[in-house]
Amino acid sequence: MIRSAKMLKVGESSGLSKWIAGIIVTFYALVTVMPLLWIVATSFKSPPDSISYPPQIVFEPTLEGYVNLFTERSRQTDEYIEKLGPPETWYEEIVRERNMVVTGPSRFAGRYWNSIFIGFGSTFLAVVLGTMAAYGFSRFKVPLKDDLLFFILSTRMMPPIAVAIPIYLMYRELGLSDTALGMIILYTAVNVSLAVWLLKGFVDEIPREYEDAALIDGYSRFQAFIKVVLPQMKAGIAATAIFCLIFAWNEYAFALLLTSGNAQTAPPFIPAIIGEGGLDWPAVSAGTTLFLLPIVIVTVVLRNQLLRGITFGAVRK
Amino acid sequence: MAELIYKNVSKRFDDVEAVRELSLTVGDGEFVVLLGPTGAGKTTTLRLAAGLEVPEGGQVFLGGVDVTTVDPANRDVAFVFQQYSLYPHLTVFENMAFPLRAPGRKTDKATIKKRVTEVAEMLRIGHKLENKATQLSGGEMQRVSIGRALVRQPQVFLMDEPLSSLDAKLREDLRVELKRIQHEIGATVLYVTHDQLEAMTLADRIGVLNNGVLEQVGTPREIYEHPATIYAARRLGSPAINLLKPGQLGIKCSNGQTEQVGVRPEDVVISRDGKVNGKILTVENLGVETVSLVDVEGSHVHALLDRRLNLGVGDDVAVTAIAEKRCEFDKNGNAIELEVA
Ligand SMILES: Nc1ncnc2c1ncn2[C@@H]1O[C@H](COP(=O)(O)OP(=O)(O)O)[C@@H](O)[C@H]1O
Ligand SMILES: [Mg+2]
Repeated sequence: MIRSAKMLKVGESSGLSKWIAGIIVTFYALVTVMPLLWIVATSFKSPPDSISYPPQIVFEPTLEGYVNLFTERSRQTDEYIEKLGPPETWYEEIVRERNMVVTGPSRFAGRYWNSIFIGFGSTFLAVVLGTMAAYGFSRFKVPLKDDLLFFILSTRMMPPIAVAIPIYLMYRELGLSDTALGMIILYTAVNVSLAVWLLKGFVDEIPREYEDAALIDGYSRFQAFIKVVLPQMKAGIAATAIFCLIFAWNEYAFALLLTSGNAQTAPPFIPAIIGEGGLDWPAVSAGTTLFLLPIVIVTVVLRNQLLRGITFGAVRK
Repeated sequence: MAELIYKNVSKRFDDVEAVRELSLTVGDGEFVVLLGPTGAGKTTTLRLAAGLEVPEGGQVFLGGVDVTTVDPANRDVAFVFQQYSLYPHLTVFENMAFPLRAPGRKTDKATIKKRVTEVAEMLRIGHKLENKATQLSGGEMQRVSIGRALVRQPQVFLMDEPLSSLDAKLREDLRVELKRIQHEIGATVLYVTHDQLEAMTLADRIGVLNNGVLEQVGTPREIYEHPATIYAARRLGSPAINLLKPGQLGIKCSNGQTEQVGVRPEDVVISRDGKVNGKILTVENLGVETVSLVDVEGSHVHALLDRRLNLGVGDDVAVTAIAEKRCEFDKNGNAIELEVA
């Protein structure tokens, strides 16, 4: 009797705490997701709707923001537009509504490509270098190992932008300003310290006996690394890659300072999209929405690895 | 199969001398067991033979060739690790095929398949070949580890406490199997353990390892009956040998250097008749035998009881010893040669 009553109580309270936890999580999710939803919604508004007051929750969706993001346009007289005949494409049609014609593609696609190239390129390099350095630090007697590791970490102890001026001058001198190579080198340098530290933790977790066994079985150290160590580092590498990618992808200050034409990435470009009479908010939102996509996709694709990776040593031995 | 020889091999880690001046020969087709507690240097000794450690002094020979500085990959030995030897990202089959797929070995697919299946059948894990290594029980994992070693025909098998993580019943089964397989293929095996029962049952010869020093090498029987040191005497036998002062239990010693006298429990004679000099403290019935702790002349002595005497705790008894079976040790713990009577 008593026991069953007690059990019921336990069940009840755990049900209640589940509800409370659920409500808190939902509330938190709403708070964090709201700005994102707002951005996505704005990207489908027309420019007047985007700045109307009070803000519109319900509106007629349009792709105008996306069209403006990808095109350069100029305003024309009615007579000129009439002479052109009917619009040939759907986006031409949207643009004509505002008495404009498309004069060519915008620079957005190029900036976006720069972001992809620089972001993924530097992530790849940081992870490759980080993996090898982490393996070396974990497995071999490296002179001054602890000092070196501390030194590597110490590069993260100040905000990277603190060294902006020396880097600016150095890059100008070396001809690396406004080049994709320069940005890749810069982001790799910043990320590699994080990568070494994170990945060393993962390598330390892998028992040496695995490699010893492979060595005895007739594999070289490098082959053992590829066949035995790498597969077991998958989760760690995925987690590290995401962290590196997020940093490189979102980096704003250096991109603003060091790039202008050629190698400019999306972050400094997007907020500066000017329409008639100031910022073109739907186009800015459309750019931001597209900018978020790759990180979302990568995170979703890697999420299983990521969950295992972020729990670090908690995986079964 | 080949002969493995250690010649005055030493290995230290910073300030720990893990192996000191060790010399040992494991003959072709012989099963040698190194017995010692944790930290005695057993694993290090094996790693030296595999090439995973390079000694500071001495040499290692494999099949007559000096391999002291040869890479592990080029030594052609197989190693069964105490733990962590299976790759969690591979299946059982892939784990067992791993050594055969090594770049230097170039075994063709059909041969790999045949070898792995054969060995898996021999170890009775044939039905598990497609499982992930992590989905196995402890006993199966250890079978696969042993299987990984058996698929190749290496010069020497090195086994580092392969059974120590298993429960008693499995350990016994695998022990018997291991011995059978070794016999069947005539393998040269150097096996290390801290378990004296494993050592006694598996070994052609046992080496007793203490703090990196090989104290004695001999057949199980030699070491049991004629231990070279007190340490070796205490490593074998359960309950352990009784260490007494000269003169106790009426044992007369051959010379004046004797500091301690060792008498095995089975050589202590307990009876109701005769001069009463002891009292029974405990009686443990182990089935095959009955072990008793007896308080005699101020010492506690283990003895085997004759069940027919029906003795119980608190009984007064007469305790004597079979003096010819004794061992004598000097003050350094080394055995003193007894004059054959
Ligand atoms: N890689 C190493 N670095 C430092 N000390 C070690 C290393 N390997 C073993 N040792 C030390 O050497 C001694 C013998 O170790 P080991 O051979 O593993 O003993 P066992 O296998 O008999 O338990 C121990 O004191 C151990 O701490
Ligand atoms: Mg060991």
